[in-house]
Amino acid sequence: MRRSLRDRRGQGGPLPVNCVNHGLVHGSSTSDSAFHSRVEGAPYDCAWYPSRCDLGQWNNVFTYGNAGRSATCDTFASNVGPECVGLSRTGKGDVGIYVFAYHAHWAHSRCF
Amino acid sequence: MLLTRKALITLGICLCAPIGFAMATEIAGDHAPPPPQPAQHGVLEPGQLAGVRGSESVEQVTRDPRGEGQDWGITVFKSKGGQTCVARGRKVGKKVGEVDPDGRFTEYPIEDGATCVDLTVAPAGAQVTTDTRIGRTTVHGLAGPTVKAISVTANGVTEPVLIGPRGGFLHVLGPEILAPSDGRLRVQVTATLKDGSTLSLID
Repeated sequence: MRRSLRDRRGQGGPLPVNCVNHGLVHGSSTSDSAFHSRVEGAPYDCAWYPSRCDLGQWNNVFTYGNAGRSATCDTFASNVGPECVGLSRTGKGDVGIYVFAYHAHWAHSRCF
Repeated sequence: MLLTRKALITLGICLCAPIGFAMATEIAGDHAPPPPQPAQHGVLEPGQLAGVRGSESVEQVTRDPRGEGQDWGITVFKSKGGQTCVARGRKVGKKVGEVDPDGRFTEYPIEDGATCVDLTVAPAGAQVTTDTRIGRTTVHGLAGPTVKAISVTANGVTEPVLIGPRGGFLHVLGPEILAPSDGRLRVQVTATLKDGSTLSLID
């Protein structure tokens, strides 16, 4: 017997806007060259869809993250140069279903 | 007469639109789960995913598939919100973290959170990460007590993955397995539960 995690999701109604927290996580400092790209899990139906949490700098992604339906998607980089040019690209959905489309977030202290 | 008809239509729209909106809101409100907090969009704080210092332990240490650099490993820890979290990286001493091209090691900051799974809700969770700078792809995640086995299928080849004492698992793939077109792997991660059923974690 093969089943999908999608079978376990609830049968609630409309999703909250953007559904789950996502974007760039600075961590303890906005200037220590260490940051994350993240799509959180949450107790909503939409959390049961896969996530992408790609990470890079400027407009260049160098780390690609794909999380399954039940996990927080998180990629991390450190010592990669100025954090203010940090890039987080996130998306959530499945084939034909977009909770939110793949899009970019930049650092709070964006400098380009 | 024409003006009167237009006026009536306009009056009807003015009267009915708010009622319709109110009804729609009421209908949506009947079904929408109340959000415990508004979803953030942009720059995040770790929040409930922040790791609890002292709860971390390193497990599932494995050699680099090409024998380059330090071994790989995962650190498993508990978050403030009670989820189990796992971060993968290079193992240096008794720590797991990132090694930059200059060889500098940074321990993974568990206070920031990581790949977290609520194992009271889901049997397991997994993430595939590809770092194009070093040509490595890792599969890491967490398996709860109902999981018997984890397997990874990369480009058609299926391999079993050991589960650690706290449920963490890690599998590291070399550059030879990267898909040439877009740098992304075709990876499936499957959990076999103790009741004999299988669960697709990533497909």
